[in-house]
Amino acid sequence: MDPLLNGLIQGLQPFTLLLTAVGVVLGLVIAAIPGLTVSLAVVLLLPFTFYLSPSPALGMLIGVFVGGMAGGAISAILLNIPGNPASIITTRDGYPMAKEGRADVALGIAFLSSILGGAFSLLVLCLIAPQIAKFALLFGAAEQAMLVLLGLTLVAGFSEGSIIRGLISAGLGLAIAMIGLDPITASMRYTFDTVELQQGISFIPVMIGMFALPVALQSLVQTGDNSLPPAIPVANPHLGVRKAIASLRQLWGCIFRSSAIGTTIGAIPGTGSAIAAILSYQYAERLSKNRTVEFGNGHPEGVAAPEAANSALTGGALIPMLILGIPGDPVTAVMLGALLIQGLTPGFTLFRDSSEIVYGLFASFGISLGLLTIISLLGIPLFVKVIRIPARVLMPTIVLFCIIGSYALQNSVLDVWVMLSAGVLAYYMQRWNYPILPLLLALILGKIFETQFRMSLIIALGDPLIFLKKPISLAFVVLFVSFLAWTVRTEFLNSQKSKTSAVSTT
Amino acid sequence: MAARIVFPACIALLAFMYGWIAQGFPSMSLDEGFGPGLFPAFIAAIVGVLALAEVLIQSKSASSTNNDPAPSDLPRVSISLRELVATCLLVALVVATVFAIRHVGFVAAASGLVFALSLAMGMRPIWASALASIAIALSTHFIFSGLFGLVLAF
Repeated sequence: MDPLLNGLIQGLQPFTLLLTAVGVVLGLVIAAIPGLTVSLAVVLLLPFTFYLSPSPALGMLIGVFVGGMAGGAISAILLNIPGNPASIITTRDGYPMAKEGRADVALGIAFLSSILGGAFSLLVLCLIAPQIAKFALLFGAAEQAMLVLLGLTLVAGFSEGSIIRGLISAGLGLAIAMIGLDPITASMRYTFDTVELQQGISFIPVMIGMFALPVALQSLVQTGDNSLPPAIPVANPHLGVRKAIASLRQLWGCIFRSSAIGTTIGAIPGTGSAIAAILSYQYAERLSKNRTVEFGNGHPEGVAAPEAANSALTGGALIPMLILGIPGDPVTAVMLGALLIQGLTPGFTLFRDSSEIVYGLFASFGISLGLLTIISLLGIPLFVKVIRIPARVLMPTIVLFCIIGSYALQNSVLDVWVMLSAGVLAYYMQRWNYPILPLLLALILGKIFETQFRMSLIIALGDPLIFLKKPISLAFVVLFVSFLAWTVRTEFLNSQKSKTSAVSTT
Repeated sequence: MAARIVFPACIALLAFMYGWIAQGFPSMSLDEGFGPGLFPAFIAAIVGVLALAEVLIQSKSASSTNNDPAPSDLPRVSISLRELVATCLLVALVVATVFAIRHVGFVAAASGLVFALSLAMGMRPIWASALASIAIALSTHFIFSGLFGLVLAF
């Protein structure tokens, strides 16, 4: 049977369909509440996937991803508070539109752009992913080791803060990944003669702790009056969607361009949805033919561009995760975790041996977009109420879920302590501007990196030039060195510029 | 200023200890067969150097911006007492909950955690927080234990 059709059948199974719908609603609701993010939503649902088969588990997570990317716009437009980092730029034009009494149109454009952006990236994913997967078949140990090194450096470089802090974070992740049995000789490392540490530190409790606990800790720190500004009422959501559909002719080019930007940015590990949204907004501002309204004062393209781009990121981010095992952003990092827990390894073999799961995921992605259309149309009045819920009301439950989620993986109390330590570490790392994504990625990929690196050296009888002798590996090394040099140069120039401006102002 | 120097300094110290422990693993060098000590030694060296570089950068930045305690990319680096208290409270509550589950059972311990956190986050009235805590603990127990069969006896 055609794998795409097989995948569609998997995605349309009643249980998978139900969980995908649950995912979309939860994603929309959680991302709409200011202070809660899509990463938090997927990480809280991750423990549930331990008990599910791959298709429903991935269907639920992709539903959260799709719903979450669209949900951030609700509070951005109605409260002027972005629901997620990608929607920061949506506030610039979304909120002025709402203040002018066009909240329904702004929401309609945001949802429509999200749906079209997601559909574009799904199309690219379906067309490109199987072809790149065939190319990945050419990768041996040296290529895989250099690819992981490149992926880690990209994530460290594109993350917030300086490249040095990003690399320190990645180094910490690699250091934690070394704990336990050595993957080649099975000797003990950093176990301190304890049985519990022999299996190493699982990345699941670290992930749960790092994404969820800092949010709770933040709420604990900021007690007191956290009341939100009043939400702007939505007059007629259905009319808004109809008006948005009518304005599609003017927005078509902007949505298409932003979707292409979002998909491309999503495929580059570590870049993130905020970059995609900002870049697409800048292009929209530069290339827009509609000059009746200024950008920043309620221009419809100012809402369409970032929303299409951040939704299009979804499909783009799945490309490196599914094919190379390198997640592009926190959400795909969690999805990679879900895949690995199910005993599935990303790469060509996943496409060849478990095509029904891969195409089932693609089908669930498409179904999520369809559900988003229906839910966004019917649910706007509900979401208007939901965004008024203070995030801290949910925090005690989130902490409880963190404890159970980390314990549920292997019924181990050690995992709870790991989750707790990771959460506290993540909170202070973020406070001091150290990114946490490189640490997580390095922890997930650390063992693979080490195994492939050492295997390459063993095969080459100790010749480190093996990494330069193979063309694909050499290409990765060249990209790695060029990216590192470019990032260091950019940071140096930026620091010189800020010093010069500081001197000129004094 | 201290926090942004102390953190990388601690990392550098940890990297040194990490590398020192790696010396005890067999086969450190390439000639000896790329053993289990090779990678940890690499990581320790790289992280150590980067952390020291960060200490130097931050010290230099601190001395050049003596009158400005916060450089542009670090909006607020010093830890407030409130943050320390919140961290200690959260850690204590999680630890207490895990130990309490063994003695009083999941529902009672989880209700206690949720109730204590609700109060700490300023949610009122108290009776509503207490009722919500019990309801949350019961429903969580039902989902994980009843539906998924997880044994919630830590």
